[in-house]
Amino acid sequence: MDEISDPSDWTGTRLPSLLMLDSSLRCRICKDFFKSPFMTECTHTFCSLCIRKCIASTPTSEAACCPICRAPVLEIRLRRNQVVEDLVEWFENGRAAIMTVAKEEPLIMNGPVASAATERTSSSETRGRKRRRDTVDSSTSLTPEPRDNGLRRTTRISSRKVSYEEKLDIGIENDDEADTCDPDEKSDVNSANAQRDSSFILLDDDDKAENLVPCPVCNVVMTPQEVQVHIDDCIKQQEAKEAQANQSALSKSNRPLRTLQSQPLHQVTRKPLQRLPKLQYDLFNDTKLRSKLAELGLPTNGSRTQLQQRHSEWVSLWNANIDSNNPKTKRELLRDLNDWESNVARYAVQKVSADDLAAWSKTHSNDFDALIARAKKDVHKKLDNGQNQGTSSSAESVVQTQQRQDSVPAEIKKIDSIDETSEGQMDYKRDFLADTLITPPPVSSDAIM
Amino acid sequence: MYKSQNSRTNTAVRRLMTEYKQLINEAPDGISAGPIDEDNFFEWECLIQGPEDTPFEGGVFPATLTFPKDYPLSPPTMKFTCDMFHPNVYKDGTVCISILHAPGDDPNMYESASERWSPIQSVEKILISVMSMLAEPNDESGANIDACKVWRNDRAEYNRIVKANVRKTLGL
Repeated sequence: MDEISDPSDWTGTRLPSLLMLDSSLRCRICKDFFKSPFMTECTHTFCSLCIRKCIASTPTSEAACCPICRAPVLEIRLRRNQVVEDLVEWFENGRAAIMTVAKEEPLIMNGPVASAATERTSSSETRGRKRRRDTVDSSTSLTPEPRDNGLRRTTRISSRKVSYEEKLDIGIENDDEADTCDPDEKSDVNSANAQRDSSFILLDDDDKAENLVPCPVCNVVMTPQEVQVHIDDCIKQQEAKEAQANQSALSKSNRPLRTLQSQPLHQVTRKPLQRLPKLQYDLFNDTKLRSKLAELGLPTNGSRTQLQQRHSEWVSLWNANIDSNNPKTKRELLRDLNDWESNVARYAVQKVSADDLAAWSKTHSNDFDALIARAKKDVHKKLDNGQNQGTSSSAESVVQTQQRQDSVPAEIKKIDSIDETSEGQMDYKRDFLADTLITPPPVSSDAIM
Repeated sequence: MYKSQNSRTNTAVRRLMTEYKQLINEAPDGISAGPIDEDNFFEWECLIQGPEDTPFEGGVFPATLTFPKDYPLSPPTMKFTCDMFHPNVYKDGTVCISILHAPGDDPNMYESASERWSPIQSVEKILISVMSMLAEPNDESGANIDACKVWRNDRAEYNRIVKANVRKTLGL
């Protein structure tokens, strides 16, 4: 589950506000980052494959609608959302690094807490350095607090509060108390603040080594001050690179045939890579549908429902793949289709066949016939037995049979009367009911006695 | 931890894992849910607290959620595994609520499309809907006719039965 990322990863970090950005860049259907985002006419964006599958899964009796606002959606009216696609790509690229930075503070914070015991007894110089580290934290915090130079002590506390947002724990409180008790404290605070007031903090070598942070873009480790300056250049460089890569990817998808020509699959070279139309399956008989699938290089085995669903899934996969900046090969798509068929489709096939009662009773007609035949045989045997016993010796059983026949409910008598008109057809029903009555469970036969 | 056989296409499992993670990170009030077995993400167990100011108050009701393989295109089914006397819960515990019905699947022909399942719904939304269903039964779409009648005609008796069930779930 660790490989699954989700917006709530940002809660409890230094950058909780990124939660909303993170969740805005995710498809509401798969809850993952947008893959080839497409926008509906109602301006809602989904992954190409998600919305296509969603539309394909809508029962034919209903009009496909937007999963968010339920406005009607037509697949041909979907439009690519390029800006969102780029945003996702860049955010995803930087996410891990931003997350590292966002989660870093507890580590820095724990440092002084963990070593507080030793530091408290050490010289004021170490204390001063530690404090400077704190000020560095607040100056690099991405939520800067307006500073009032006239109120240095309070400024310091408030900026600490910001940088330790939600993270204040007992260790820090103690640390604070210790600070105020420290006789060297005041001068230290003043010097620390003086440094900050000059808006640049000079660090000795030790501090440098302890305060290095990775650039969120390129991951090169440097001091927070350097990062501030470096990051703009770095982002520009990165963007230029991305744009280049993106352009080449785009040109690939614009001329998709070329990318797939290297494929050994003969179907690909024969057929140009273009969108597949949806089919009106009612217009195709089984043979035609099979040949259609064969044309596409898909398996042609299975029931009609399977054929239809396989085709529909393939159309979704294929068309969504065309939308992708990094389209998969046909071989990979076929593997996806196969995975889908072995994992997901079984359910759908069952569901349809259960709905289709006529087809179901047709496939099971042999079972029904066998059951009816057995029931008929049983009932005749039982009746014969009962009559034989009755004439031979057991008066009890005669009474039993008679009672049972008397206790035949009105419904059966009704059926009997129907039988007179349409004999044979309804015959088995009576046989069934009579059978259950004539062979009651032992408890009820005792009750009759 | 769960190893997906094919992470390539198993959107359902990925989505369920995301939802599970989100429910752990930001647990909503009165609701707890997760897979019974982390090797099978299609069967979840959940606990719902009885809403306040209702006869269900104080109770904790266990239920199972069963997800279809094409989740979230199709909705899961929900079944209480405790005694539940409620107009919208079948006697076997199955919950009958519009958010769990896909468009085109409307057993009682009363639901407007806007209330029904859509792939953007989630476990959290379902459980919140069920909580509000406990507080406000919909007797137009009765799943348990007896409960419907008692709820409509004899509210005191309804409250008594529900409270008895609450005590039962708490093992009192």
